[in-house]
Amino acid sequence: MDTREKIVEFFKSRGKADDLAYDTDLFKGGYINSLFALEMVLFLEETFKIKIKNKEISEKNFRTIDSIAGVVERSLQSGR
Amino acid sequence: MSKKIKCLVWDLDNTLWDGILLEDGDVVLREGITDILKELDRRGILLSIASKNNREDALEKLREFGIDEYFIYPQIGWGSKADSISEIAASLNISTDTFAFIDDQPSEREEVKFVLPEVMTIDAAEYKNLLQMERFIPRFITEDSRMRRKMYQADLERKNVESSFKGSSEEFLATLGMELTVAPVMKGDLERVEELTVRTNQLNSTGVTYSFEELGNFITSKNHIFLIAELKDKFGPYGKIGLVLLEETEDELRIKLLLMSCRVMTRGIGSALLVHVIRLASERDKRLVADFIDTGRNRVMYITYKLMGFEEAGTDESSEGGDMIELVYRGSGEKQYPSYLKFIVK
Repeated sequence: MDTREKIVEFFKSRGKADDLAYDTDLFKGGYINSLFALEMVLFLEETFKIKIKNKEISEKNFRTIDSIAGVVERSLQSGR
Repeated sequence: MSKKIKCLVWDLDNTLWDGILLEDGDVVLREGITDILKELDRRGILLSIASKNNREDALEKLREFGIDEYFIYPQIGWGSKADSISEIAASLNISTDTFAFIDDQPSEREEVKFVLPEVMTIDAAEYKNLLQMERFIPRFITEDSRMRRKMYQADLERKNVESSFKGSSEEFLATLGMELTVAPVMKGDLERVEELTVRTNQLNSTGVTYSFEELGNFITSKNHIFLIAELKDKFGPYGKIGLVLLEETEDELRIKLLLMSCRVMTRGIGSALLVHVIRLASERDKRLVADFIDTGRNRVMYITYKLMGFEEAGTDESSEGGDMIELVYRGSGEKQYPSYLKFIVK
C-alpha cells in the first residue's frame, strides 16, 4: 500500500472518506479540523515510524492527501 | 516538601470496618469513619479501595453502609495491593507520589512501600488523625475540589460510552452535548486559576507559573484580558478547565498563556478557545501573536497552534527546548467555532 492509500485508510477508519480525492481541500471539505489533524500527526508518526519536524506542521502541509504524503516522504528521507 | 495527597486508598478488613468480612459477615464500620470519608471527599481528596476480599460481597457491604459512592475505581480481589494502587493511579491519570495507602497489616504496607516507595503508607491505627495530617490539608478547597469525585465519576461513564461508540471522534463529541462557557477571571476563581497553572503540564503553552498576586493583578490590569473556561456535557460538569491570558497593546494581541486540564485532552477545547481569541483579535483589528515555550511535554499545544494557522516568526526552527518561540497568526479572522460544542461567552 502506498503512502496516500494508507492515509485514505485512516480517514476511512474515522468514517470520513466519502468522495475523497488526493487533492481535495481537507479543511474546506470538513474532513479535517485541528483536533483531527492532531490525531493525524500522531497516526503518521506511529504508522510510518517517523518524527515529523515542527516546521512541517502547518495548515498548508495538511491541506490535502497529496501534501500530507509529501510530509511523510520528506520525514522518511530526513530520518535516513 | 512532599506533595499534597490526591488519592487515599483504603484497605477494608480491620481498617475501614472492624472484623473480617469473609469470616464474620456482620462487620461494623469503625467509629467516625463516615464523617472522615465525607470530609476527605469535601477536600477534593479521591478515595479508593485495595482489599483482598470477594468483590461482590465487599461492594454489597459498602452499599449497605451507604458509603459505596465515595470510592472510585475500587480494587477488590486477590491481587497485590501495589498493583491495585498502580491500576487506580493509571485509571485516574494521577501520579503515585500523590497517593496514600492505609492498612492495618504491616506486611501489606511493606509490600506497597517496597514496590512504590513514593506512596505514603499509614497504619490503620492512625485513622482518626488523617484529617489533621499536613499532606491531607489542601492549600485551598475550591468549588472544583468539592466536585472532584463527581467529575471523575462522570468521566468514567463517558469512557464507557466512548469505548462502545463506533464512528469518528467528532461524531462522538457531537453526541456529548458539550457547553463551553468563557468568562473573565473573577477574584473568586484565583485559587482554581493557580491550581490549573501548577497542575497542567501537557496542555500548557508556556509552562510559566505566576504568583497569586501576579494572577490577581491580571484581573484588574487594563492591558490584559484574562479568561477562564468551564465545560459541561450531558454526563455532568468537568468544572473550570481552561485559561487564556492575553496581553493587549496598540496594534497587537498576544497570547501569554493558553492551558487546559488534561481531563479535556480529546475534547477539542484548545481549538475552540483559539477560535475565540482569533475572533477577538479580528474584531479589534489587531495582529495576533502567541508565546510558546517548549517544555518537552507540551508538543500537543504547539501542533494545535500550527494547525490553526499560526506560524513561527523570527526564531531558529532547529532550536530545541527552553527558548521562547513567537507564533504569529496568518489565517483568516473568520474562523468558525467547532460544530461539536456550544460556545458561550459571558
